[in-house]
Amino acid sequence: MSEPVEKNGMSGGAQNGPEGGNILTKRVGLNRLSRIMVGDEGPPWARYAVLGGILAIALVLPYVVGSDRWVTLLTIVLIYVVLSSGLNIVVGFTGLLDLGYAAFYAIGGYFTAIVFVQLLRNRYGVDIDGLWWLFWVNLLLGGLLAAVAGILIGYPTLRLRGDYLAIMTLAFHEIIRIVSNNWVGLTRGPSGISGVPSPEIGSFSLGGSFRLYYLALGIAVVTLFLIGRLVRSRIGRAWTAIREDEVAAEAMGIHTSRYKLLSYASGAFFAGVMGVFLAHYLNFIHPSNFKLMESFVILCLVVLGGMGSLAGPVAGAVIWISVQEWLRDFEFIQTHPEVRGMAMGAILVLLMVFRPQGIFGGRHISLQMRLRSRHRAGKGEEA
Amino acid sequence: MPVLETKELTRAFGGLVAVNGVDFHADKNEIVGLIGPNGAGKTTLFNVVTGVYRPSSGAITFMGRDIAGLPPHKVTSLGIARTFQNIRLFPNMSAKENVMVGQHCRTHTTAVGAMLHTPRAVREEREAIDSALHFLDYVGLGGTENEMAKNLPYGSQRRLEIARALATKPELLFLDEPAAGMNPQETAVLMQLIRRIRDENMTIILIEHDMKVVMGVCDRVVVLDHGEKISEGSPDHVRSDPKVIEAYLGRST
Repeated sequence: MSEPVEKNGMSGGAQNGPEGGNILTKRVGLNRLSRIMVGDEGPPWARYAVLGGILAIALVLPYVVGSDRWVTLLTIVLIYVVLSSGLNIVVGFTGLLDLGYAAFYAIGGYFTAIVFVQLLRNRYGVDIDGLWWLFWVNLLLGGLLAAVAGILIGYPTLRLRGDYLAIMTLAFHEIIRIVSNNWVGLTRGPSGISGVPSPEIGSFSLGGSFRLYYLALGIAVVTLFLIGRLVRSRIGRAWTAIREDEVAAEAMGIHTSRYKLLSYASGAFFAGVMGVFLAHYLNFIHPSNFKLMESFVILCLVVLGGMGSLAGPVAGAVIWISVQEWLRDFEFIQTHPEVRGMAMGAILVLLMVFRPQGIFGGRHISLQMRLRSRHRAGKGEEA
Repeated sequence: MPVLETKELTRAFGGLVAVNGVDFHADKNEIVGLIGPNGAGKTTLFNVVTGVYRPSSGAITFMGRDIAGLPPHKVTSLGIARTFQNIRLFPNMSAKENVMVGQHCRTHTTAVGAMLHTPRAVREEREAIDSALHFLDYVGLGGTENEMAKNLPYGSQRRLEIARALATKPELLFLDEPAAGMNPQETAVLMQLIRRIRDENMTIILIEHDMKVVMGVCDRVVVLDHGEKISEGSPDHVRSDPKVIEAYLGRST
């Protein structure tokens, strides 16, 4: 078993040039680590050890950092982990540039806020404190609604590629944002919707920064698990084939329009779910939660972490959001807040110079289901 | 009944008539060569039949079914596969994954099935992997399944395209200049492969400029020039047809 694994590790450098990986890759072994994480390299226990280790760290981290401020920050990181992983389906795997992804996030957030506050409480006078279960239903419904929106925006853009597609998604984001800002009767416009209840299970409240963190962690784990499985199936292969060569994909019998719409819908679904979470997390929803900058930041996380990898968007979110928050501690940054944005820009520029494929984008991940025994790592057939 | 038949097939791009009233057919288990000077309309004929372009007029019948104007993915799922003149693999996917994409229209796992790893999805995936490895072996690419398509040598990329096309389980296979850029040994192996594929009960239509290949494997040759069929028959007949010589070399005055 170890022999083919070594061979895989060696050929991993092929993407970076004949010398087999740049300095950063060699020292940190990021490619290798990301391949172990998704089970493309090394024995199964290595994968479970790495994933289990990361999960264990995620579980104890709130107690290590202690303060509410940092637990809140970690929750925000998890929100962006889900968002960037969802966008990665569209941008990284299917190769469709989407500059308006936060629109789906907004749809989820406004959906649940409107249902709970505007509709049930204000219109029908229902006591929403007793409706704890509706949050969980809305988590799913918000995702599905966003998925439908994804199909609606996807349909007219099907023939577009590259720049044209990007402009259209940008416009879609603006439509959603401007509607949320101006349809006062529905969204209360610039005053936002407050009073969205915190998540609960029965009478057990999930409010408070620690419990909300664990809820976000749960959503993130489920999201990554589902995306991982989707990508490593004929669905993920169809998406990747469209990214690689749409004409050839169509000639191989892939209904490319249908799979592009499925990609939009799947990506939008996870944004919708996170939007619902956000509304109940903040107890408040406001148009400024969904500024155009949000879409750009999420896209940056995907690029930073590595498009078309599973670990990339996670790493992108963890690094970017925590560095952003950590920078606030410097006195110089406090007196010159604009420098913070500059620093992030500089990081992105440097990364694109030294590691253009992103942190974890160095090695192609396997696109087939992980099967027990002989099919592992693909090489097992002749062995 | 022929596997594929076109009647008066025409495709025009603005004023340019790339394919002009072509009657063409391929019988079961036949290897038909499609030749002609550059710009004769061979690839356009492929593209019209496989659904990349709609025909301007005329009929295309495949196994008794009218397929004119169907989109390419539909045509592929009915049983017509193709390779491309300028290789169009999925460069950043492994050789095995390239072949597995070819199996797309013969597998049925849904997004939900894929997420839940239902027993059916697992079984289907296992079979897909097995048969992908089988097709790679079949074209002589066994052992390279984990190589990125873009890292394979040129000749192997051509064969990988054939493996990927075979994975769609076609009745009819279109090969667009399969021997282009190959050295004589590679070409010889390719000719063997083409005959073997035919012996597996498949019909093959190939565009080729390498006359050794055309004369060596084709049962029948169709010659196009300026979008029109100018000759048809056995390789020997076509070779000595004055109209064909004229098309390639020009008229002597």
